[in-house]
Parts: sequence; C-alpha cells; structure tokens
Amino acid sequence: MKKQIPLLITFISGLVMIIAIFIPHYPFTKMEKWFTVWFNIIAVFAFILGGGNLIRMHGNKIYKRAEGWGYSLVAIIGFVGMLTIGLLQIGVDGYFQRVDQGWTDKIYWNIIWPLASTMFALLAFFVASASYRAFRAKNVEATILLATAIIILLARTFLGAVLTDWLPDELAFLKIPELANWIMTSPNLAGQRAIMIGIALGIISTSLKIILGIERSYLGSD
Amino acid sequence: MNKYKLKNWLTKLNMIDRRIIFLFIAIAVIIPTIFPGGCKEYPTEMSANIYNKIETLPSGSRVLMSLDYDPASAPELQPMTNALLRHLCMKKHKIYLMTLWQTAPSIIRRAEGLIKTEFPEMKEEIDYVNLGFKGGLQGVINAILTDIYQMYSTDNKGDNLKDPKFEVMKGVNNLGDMDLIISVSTGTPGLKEWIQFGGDMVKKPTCGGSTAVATPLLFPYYPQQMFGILGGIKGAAEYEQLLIDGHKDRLDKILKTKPIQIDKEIAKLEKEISTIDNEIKNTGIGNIKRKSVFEANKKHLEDLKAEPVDEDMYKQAIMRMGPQTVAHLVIIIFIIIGNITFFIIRRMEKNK
Amino acid sequence: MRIIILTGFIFIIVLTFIPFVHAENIKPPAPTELRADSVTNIGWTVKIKWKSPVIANNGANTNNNTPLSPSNSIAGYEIQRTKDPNSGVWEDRRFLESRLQEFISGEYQDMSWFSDGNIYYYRMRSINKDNIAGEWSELSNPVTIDGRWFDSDKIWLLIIGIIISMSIIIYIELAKRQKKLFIRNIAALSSIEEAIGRSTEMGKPIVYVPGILDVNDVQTLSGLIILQKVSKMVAEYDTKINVPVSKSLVLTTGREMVKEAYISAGRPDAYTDDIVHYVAEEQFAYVAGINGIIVREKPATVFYMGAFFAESLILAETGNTVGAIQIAGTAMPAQLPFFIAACDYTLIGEELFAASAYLSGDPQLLGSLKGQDIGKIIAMTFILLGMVFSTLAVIFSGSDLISIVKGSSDAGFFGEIIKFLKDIFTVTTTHIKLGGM
Repeated sequence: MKKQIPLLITFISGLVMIIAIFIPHYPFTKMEKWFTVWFNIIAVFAFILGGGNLIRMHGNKIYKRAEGWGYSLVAIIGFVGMLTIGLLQIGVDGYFQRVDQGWTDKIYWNIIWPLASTMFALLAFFVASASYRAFRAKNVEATILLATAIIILLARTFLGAVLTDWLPDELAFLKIPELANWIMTSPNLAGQRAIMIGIALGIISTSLKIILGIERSYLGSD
Repeated sequence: MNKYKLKNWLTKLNMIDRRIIFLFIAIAVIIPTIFPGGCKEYPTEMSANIYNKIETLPSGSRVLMSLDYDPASAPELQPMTNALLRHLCMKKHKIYLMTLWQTAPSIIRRAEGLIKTEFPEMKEEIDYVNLGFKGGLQGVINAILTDIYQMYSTDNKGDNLKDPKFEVMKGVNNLGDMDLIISVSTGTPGLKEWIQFGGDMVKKPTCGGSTAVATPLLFPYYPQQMFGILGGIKGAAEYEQLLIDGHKDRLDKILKTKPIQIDKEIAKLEKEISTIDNEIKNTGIGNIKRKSVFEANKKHLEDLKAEPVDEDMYKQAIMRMGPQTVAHLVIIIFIIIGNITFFIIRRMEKNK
Repeated sequence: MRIIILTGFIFIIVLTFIPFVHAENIKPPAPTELRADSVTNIGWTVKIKWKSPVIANNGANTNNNTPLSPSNSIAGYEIQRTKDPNSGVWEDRRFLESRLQEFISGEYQDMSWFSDGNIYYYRMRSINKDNIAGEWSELSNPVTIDGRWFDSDKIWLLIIGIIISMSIIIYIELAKRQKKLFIRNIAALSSIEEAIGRSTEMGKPIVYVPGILDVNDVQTLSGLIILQKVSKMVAEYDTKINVPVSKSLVLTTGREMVKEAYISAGRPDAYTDDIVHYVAEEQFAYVAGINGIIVREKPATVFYMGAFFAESLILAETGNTVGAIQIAGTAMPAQLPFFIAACDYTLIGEELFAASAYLSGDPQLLGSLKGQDIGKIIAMTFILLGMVFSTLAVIFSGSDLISIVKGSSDAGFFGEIIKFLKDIFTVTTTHIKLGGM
C-alpha cells in the first residue's frame, strides 16, 4: 500500500488537471489554483526540514572542527541572525512587518543584494573564458558558430552599425545589425523552436509515465 | 626563436590562464566606467516599434506596466524601465504600475519616484496608480483578465480603488480595458506569461523588455503576439537614443526641474507622515501601512537627491554600452588569438 | 431700495432653481431593448445588446434615431446585474466610455470569474458628458451563466493530445512484447559510467546538482530520476557523491531516491542522509554554496541535471577550473549554449527526459521514446505542410504571409489551408505551458 496510495493520488490529480483544461465549469475552473495553493502549503512545511538539515550539517562540521568549518560558522550565523531579526521584527514600527522595513530591509539591501549582484557579475568574466575556450574553428560547424558569435558580439555594440554603415543599399542585408537580426530571427529561432517542440514532447512523455505509474522511481524504496 | 620554443609559447597562449582573461575583462569594464563616453546608438526595428507605438497612441491611453524583476537585475533593466516611463509620461498616457514579483516593490517605488520628480504634472490617482505586488504568479494575470478588482481592491497605500478620487480607474474593469501592455521582466513570471495569458487572450498590443540572455526565447512571439522587445542594455540604449532624438528639449527641461521637485516631494511626504503621526498621537489610531509607504518613498527620494542630475541621467544605458563594447572587443580579440594559435599549432604538428 | 432688494432676491432664487430645471432637461435617456444572451462556447460569458437612443458624443448615429441636443449626448453607460430584481442588491459590472465605439453601437460581453449556474438580470443607464446619469433601463431577460461542459475552442488541442498520448501508450505496450528497441547513442549518457569510474580511480567525489526549481517541475523530476541511476552506479563503485539541493521537497524526494538506489545496489550501509543536503533557497546563495563545495572538494565529475537559470555558466566554469568532467542536461533553451560551451557533454532538451529510459534499458520506458517520435513526426509533417502551402499562397496571391493569415487578403485555396492550419494550432500555442521555461 505504501506505493499504491501515492500512485493513486498521482493518477487522480494528474487526470483531473488534464480534464480541467477542457471543462469551463465550476469547480474545474478553480482546480489549478487550489492545487497550486495546496502545493505551496506543503512546500512551506517542508521548509522546516531544509532549515533543520542546514543547521545540523553545518553544526556537525563546527563541532568536529572539520575542514572548512569556518564557512559553516558563517552560514549558521547568517541563518540564525536573519531568522531572529525577522521573527522578533527588530527595527519595525507598528504591528506588522513589510518586506521593506526594519533591519531585515537593511540586511537585504546592504548584504544580500550586493552579494547576489557580485555573483551575477561573475558571469561577465566566465563568458570571456568560456568563449576563449569554446570558439575554435575545429570543423565546419564550429567555424559557422565562431562566425555567428563574432557577428552577434559586434552587433550588440554601436561598432556593429558603424563598421558596415558604408555598405550600399543593395548590400544592406550584409550590414552587421541586419545580419544579426536575421541570425536571431531565422536560424536561431528555428533551432529554438525545434528544441522547444522536443522539450514539450519530452514533458508530455515524462508526465504521462509519472501519471500512469510507469515511472515510479520518485517514490523511493518500499 | 626556434620552432620548439615558438610551439611552446603558442601552446601556453592557447591554454592561457583564465585569470589573465579575467584581468583583461576587468580592465575593459573598469576603464570605460571611470572614463565614460557613450556613442550614438542605431535603433533596430524592435525598439523602433515600441517607440512608435507609444508615440502614436492617443494621449491619455491606458498603459499597464508590469515591472517583473528583482533588484539584482535592476542594473540591466532599470534604464529601459526609466526610458519607457519617461516616454509614457511625456505622451501623458495613463500608467498602471504593478508587479508579479515579491522582491519588486522597491522597483515600483523607483518608478513612482521618477514620475513624481520628473513629471510633476502627472498626478497620482488621476494619471497613474501603483497597484503594487500580488502573489499568485501568472494567476494574477488570469484574474485581472476578467475583473481587476478581484485582485486589486486597494492601491499600494491601501486606498480603495473604487473611491471616486481614483479617476485613473474610471472605466477600467479588466485587462481588456488597457490600450497597451508592457512588461519589463527577467524570468518567470514575466513577459512570456503576459503574452500567453494576458495580451494574446484579450488581443491587446503587448511589448516589453528583457535581459539579454532571455530575449532570444521571446522571439517566437514576434511580431504577432508581441510587437517589440528591448533586449538588455543594448535595447535600452537604443530606446534612450530614440528618446533623445525625439524629445531632447523635454529631457533637458527635466534636468533643470528635477532637483527642485525632489525637495518638494520630500517636503510633501514629511507633511503626510507628520499628519499620520499626529493622528496616532491624538486618537491612538492611524494608517500605519500608509505611513510606512510614505517613509519608504521618502527614503528613496533622499537617496535620489544624492545622485547627480545631468545628461547622464537619461543616458544610463548609452553610458553602459561603453564597457559592453570594450568587453565584447576584448572577447573577440581573445577568440581571434585563440584561433590563430590553434591553427599554427595544428599546422606545425601536421608538418612534423 | 426695496424693489432692488426684492428683484435681487427673485433673481437669486431663479438662479438657484435653473440648474435643477436644467438638470431635468439634460438627463440622458436610457437605452432600450436590452437583451442578454449566454455565449454558447464558454458559458460564463454573457453578450448584452441594446438600442442606443441618441447620438454618441463622437457624432455617430448608430440607430438612426432623432438627434437630441448636444448636452444629451452620451459619454458612457453603466451596467449592473442582480440575481433578484426585488432584493435591491445590484452588482456593478461595467462603465463603458464613449471613446469605445463598439460599445456605443450596442453590444458588450460580460465575463465572470467562473460560472456559477445562477440566473442574472441586467440593467443599464446612460451617463452624459457632464457626468449626469439617466434613468435605469428596463430589465433584460433572465440569463443563466452556466458553463458548458466542454470548451469546443480546444477540440484540436484534445485531438492532438490524444494522438500523442495514445502513441506513447501504444508503443509502451508494444515494447513489452518486442525484444529490443533501437535507441541512438547519446554521448552524454554513455559517458556517465566512464565519468564515475574516473572519480573512483582518482579517489575524488562526485557532485550532482539537480537544478534550482522545485519537485513540481518536470526537469527536476527527470534530474532526480537520473540521480537514482547515477547513485546506483556510485554505490556499486563505492565512490562518494554529494548532492546539494535548493528546495526542501527536492531534499526529501532526493533522499528517498538515493536511499533506494543504494539499497538496490546492495550497499545500504554506505548510504547516509548527508549525501543529499540543503544549501539555500535563493539562487545566487545556492550557486555560491555549490561553488564552494566544488572548489574545496575538487570533484572529478560534476553532473548538472535539471532546471537552471543564470547560474549555469558560473557553475560550469567553476567545475572547469578544478578540472572535473562535467555532464549537463537541461530543458532551458537559454542555458543550453552555456552548458554546451563549458561542459564536456550536454543533454539537450528532450534528451534529459529520455535519460531515465536510456539508463535503465527498461523496455516500457524505451517504448515511450518511440511514442515521442510519433509526436515529432506529426510536428514535422505540419511544419512541412505549412511551409509548402504558405509558399504557394504567397506565390499565387502576391500578398505577404501575415496579411494572408490575418485574412485581410484573399489567397484562395492555399490561403484557406493556411488559415485552417493556424486555427488548429492557435489555441494550442496559447494554452500549452512549456514546463520549467
């Protein structure tokens, strides 16, 4: 029964959600909203599990003075600190806390936001190193990739327009912005659409396997 | 240099330490940032479509603007938001600000701050309204498709939207009453959801802006379901250029009036806050939610006061194109170097 | 003096009454012949029709009625509805403005949030440009807002959905009876065992990242299914695996699957709960945590299987720094280029969903891949048909494709086919949600 009941629940909820798309009648029109809300409620309860796991793992590392225990100490301090400030509503006037009030707000703007922006900014460096390594004209396909990458890189700057501005109107399609536009809206778009069709079919297949109980590995052990 | 040494040197160059690449990129970004100098941008069709649409809509048209990004994406998306807002205010359209992201209320506050300090003739509740954030992701779009009041009974400050003072809400019952839908977004929910669940359902023109990496994913919707898109900083720079070419006088006027307006708005907010404080003092009750909104707005305006008010203010994206251009050139040069060394090494090995 | 005062007094009284007298004269008349009909396809929409009695203030005489004075011209209508006209409880539905020409001409669709099977009565009144409201119209006929049991706009969605689903199910059944199905080689999946072997030889751990979305996303589920297969191999090879997750539900599901894998490999003793551990909910905090793990533990192999956003390149480049073999799989088209550039092997889109079938070799799962291929054949057929017919339509009509599709130019037989094909897929593209994207 340990596996049968979850399979039955999966089957019924999957079937109901599929049918609800085609039935514009109460209560089917509300089902997607209800199921989403129920999922969010369960996910919120599971939060406690995640938080507990975090404290346990890092706490163990600190206790055993394992390698890298200093990082674990920072993680615990951040976790416990933010939790305390939020629960006690430190620095907040009034009876309720908004996202943009008190010390929570200060920590968000002065610590979390700069750190997140820093991590995001790393992408600029990694794009350069990845491009240097990846764009080598080893074969025909790689050469085409290299050429399109250079056209797009130039088109995303004012140089793209300036470098080919001198071309006559008959050859306007060879201007870098026009070429880039064509690349993005023709071959790139075609490839993307093909990938999206494949992805959609893969999702249908995987979802069907899960709903019908053919794929059961997510249920874990007996 | 003998062949062996040359090959050795080329191999090292081919497998250059990534830290050297990082260093060059850092220099490529830092120098243009310290010595800024934007160049004229050449708008593409997609940016021009959005510009022309806003330009040709009759004055007073209803434009829903959803700012669906968090502060982490603000460096890339804020310039386009500012440019679009300025254009909408210049054309005196009615603006309905909202967001589907819970980390975005500060973004809307910036938008409101821009309208108040640069376009004082735009009155809150008459010409624009801040509907704020509502949870539910694309469910919010589904809800306002048929009845906006089902989702939004009050504005951001807590005032009842059905109050007659909200002239901007007169005749607005659902998404179908909007003349234009704009979404500036960075992920989900965002412009894609506005197209799929909003604009395409009510057959209203939809456009927006997105980060550069997410823009290609939205091209399938162009031109039928989405008539234009601003892609990243480049798109924002193109739009700013269009604004400069079309409305330079108005932009220059803003530079003169903005510092005065900031002070006026701060004074106004201080008065509102002290009114609520007095209410609390005298009666024991007062609208705390409204007060907290005013305090947050005041803090934002005080930060805004510290920012310089010059030409660069409406050329934010154009200025950022400097580092982008140099960085792209550095990447291209490295790619060329990498390919040259690769070919030479390959030839040397063939000739062995 | 008294005469002057008396005259002034009379004058004031007259002036005071004039607005009321004038107001009586300038109340706009009510619309007539109000009719409400339930729209047949989607029952929660009611179409309201009425006869406009006067000229709209933009000059349009919509019903050939006698024009009245300009002050009687209508700026808009108010519409209300009620379940019981005697209750006095009316629900505001709409204020229609004159700039909207189609409403002044006498038709409007009232949409409800959901159908509730109730009977409603509607009434309307005119508002003139001075914001003065006229009398309410006669009540409309009673109308039931009752949803139909089938949305016929989605018939093609249903047909195509059934065809694809049935083909998958049929091939699953056929696969049970057939000996072996041919599946093309997917380099990324073939290299998994080799990568795990490499880690074992080097004595370094494996890091497996199941993506950043929650367990309700199909990509995350696929990533977890692959995790189970990988964990089984890891248990057999007696290597260490580290699975940092971003969501608590992924933590619990992942633990169950890894535990199951270790038990089925006969190594329940090697399993610990710490294999799958929670890092952080926030995107870049999660990325920073994983980067720290990769830089400190220096794994020999890193797997990225699931949904990723901007962090994909940061993770992949960090893995590259420590010299790990990286195998990635995602159905996020925006992130695929980054993984392809930075990783050794990449599962593109549907290959991620095919991985579980490929790795297990289970005939039923392999059969579902063949069924997917039927879907692809259908898609390719329609693309080809659309391409051929739209080319022919443009050639024979001389118009551009967009005006043919919109129906604004006549392209004859080929144009009709194009419009038919567009109608088949219009609802489909609006209503299919591509999961995780």
